[in-house]
Amino acid sequence: MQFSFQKSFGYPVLRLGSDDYSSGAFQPTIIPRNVAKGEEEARIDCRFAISVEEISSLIDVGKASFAIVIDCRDTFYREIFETNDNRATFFCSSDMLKGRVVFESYIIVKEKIPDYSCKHIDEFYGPGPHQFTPGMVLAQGLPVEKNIHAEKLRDNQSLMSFHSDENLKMGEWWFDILNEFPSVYVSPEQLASINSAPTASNPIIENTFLVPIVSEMVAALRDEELVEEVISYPWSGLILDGLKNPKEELENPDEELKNPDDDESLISDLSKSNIRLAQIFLGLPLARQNQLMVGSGD
Amino acid sequence: MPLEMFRSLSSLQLLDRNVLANLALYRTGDFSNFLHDQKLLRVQDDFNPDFFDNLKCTNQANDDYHNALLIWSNLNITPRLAREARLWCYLTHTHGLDYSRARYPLSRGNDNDIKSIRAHFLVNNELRGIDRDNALSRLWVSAFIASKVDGLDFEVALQVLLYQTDFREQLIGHPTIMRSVRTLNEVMCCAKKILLDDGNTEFFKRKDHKGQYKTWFHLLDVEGGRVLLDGLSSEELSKLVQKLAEQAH
Repeated sequence: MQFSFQKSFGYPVLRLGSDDYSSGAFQPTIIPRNVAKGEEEARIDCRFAISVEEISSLIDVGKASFAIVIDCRDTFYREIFETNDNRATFFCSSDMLKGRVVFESYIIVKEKIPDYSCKHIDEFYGPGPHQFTPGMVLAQGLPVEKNIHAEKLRDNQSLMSFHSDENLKMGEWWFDILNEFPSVYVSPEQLASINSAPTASNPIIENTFLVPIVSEMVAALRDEELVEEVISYPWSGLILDGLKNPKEELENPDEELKNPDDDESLISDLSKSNIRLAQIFLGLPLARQNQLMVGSGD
Repeated sequence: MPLEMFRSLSSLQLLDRNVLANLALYRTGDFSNFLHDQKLLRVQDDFNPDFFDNLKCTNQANDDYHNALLIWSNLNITPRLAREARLWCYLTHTHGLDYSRARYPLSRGNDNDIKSIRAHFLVNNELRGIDRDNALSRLWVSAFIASKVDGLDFEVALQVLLYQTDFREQLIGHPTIMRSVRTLNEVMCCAKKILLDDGNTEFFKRKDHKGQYKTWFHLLDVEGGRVLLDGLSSEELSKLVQKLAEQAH
């Protein structure tokens, strides 16, 4: 019952890869924004572009509308949001957007349309006019699939949690990334020291712990055997998203709505070592440590 | 005590690789030795597993209603956590082991029992393993679906959903119905009217892999491939779902 791009609806639908229309395009841009810890709502920014005037005018008079359907397997969630504006922002419970989320986009019929005609419709469907009833699809965009996580590792280190290990001496540590929540183990005394450290010492934490940990995560994602295990962990999505390499700028006057899915990941660029990618992912954290070193020379 | 689950997927892979070697443990033993070597992740600090003792340990589908209620009211987890194979496999090998082996008796020969273990004690199918197959997760998922039906009382929705195993499986096999609150609501309200108000149990009878409920889902499939059901108004959706049910009679 899920609409397939391979399957005909039995009536003309404007969509990529179909010759139902000889000309024209429906180009939705859907950008789910990152959800910060504690935020109860997730924000989804949308922009819709439709170049077929006949469809556009149906939206203008309220006989059709833009729609996005958010479908999340992990939270058993599916909901439709509709608008007649080319730009819209929707909000849904952030609890519902976790893991793999698919954003489907459509232009759907809201009121019976007895006499739709468009010169671009393939002659296979006859000369028209065509009849549409509510719920029928006038246009379909490519589904957008996202891995959504609570927050960015690079922003707040919150996906890395510290634990004490009584077998360790002060200063010794080890870490484990082969689980959903990467953990760092230190001695109880060391843990107390870390927990009481001021915010200004964050660059030290980043450079000491995060750089080698992210480097190991990158190595795991590049390992053919390990990747099957780690790809299901939330941190893998964060690393892959964070290492996306912007393509050459497209002619896009609306930078705010630039789609991150258009970027390619650096993870497959083997000219860059794991440790180098860790630095890139973390935004060159050594530079942030410089301010702590000012004035410390003899 | 805390609610825990396997920390790594490697524990699940180990169990899956050793089903044959562990057959005797699945039939009559326990997995304490195996668990001793596995790393666990604490997912809730306060958890009382005593309710597992109150599960009806039979292989009767009729008892699924009682057991689903019990799991739902005592296992307070998020839908996201309910998607974790590491949680359900941990539970079927610990607190829920007796129930799992009673619900899916391991007495049909090694080959059949191995298949049954992979389906009901482990999670071996990403798409339906948790929704339909795992002995414990399927109960939680049933109750969760019933909880989403806002047009019916929770107990009534669960009763209708579990009236017939294949009806439940058909519904779960249609994720665009199951996940959409609006569509699920109309389908379940219509099913309740047919089963409880009209007393039409014939609609839910399975006949040679057919049945009126199956025709109904087929018609919903056909219509759902033509129109976006989520895009219909509540009134339009309700009329459509009822019309298709009448056609299926």
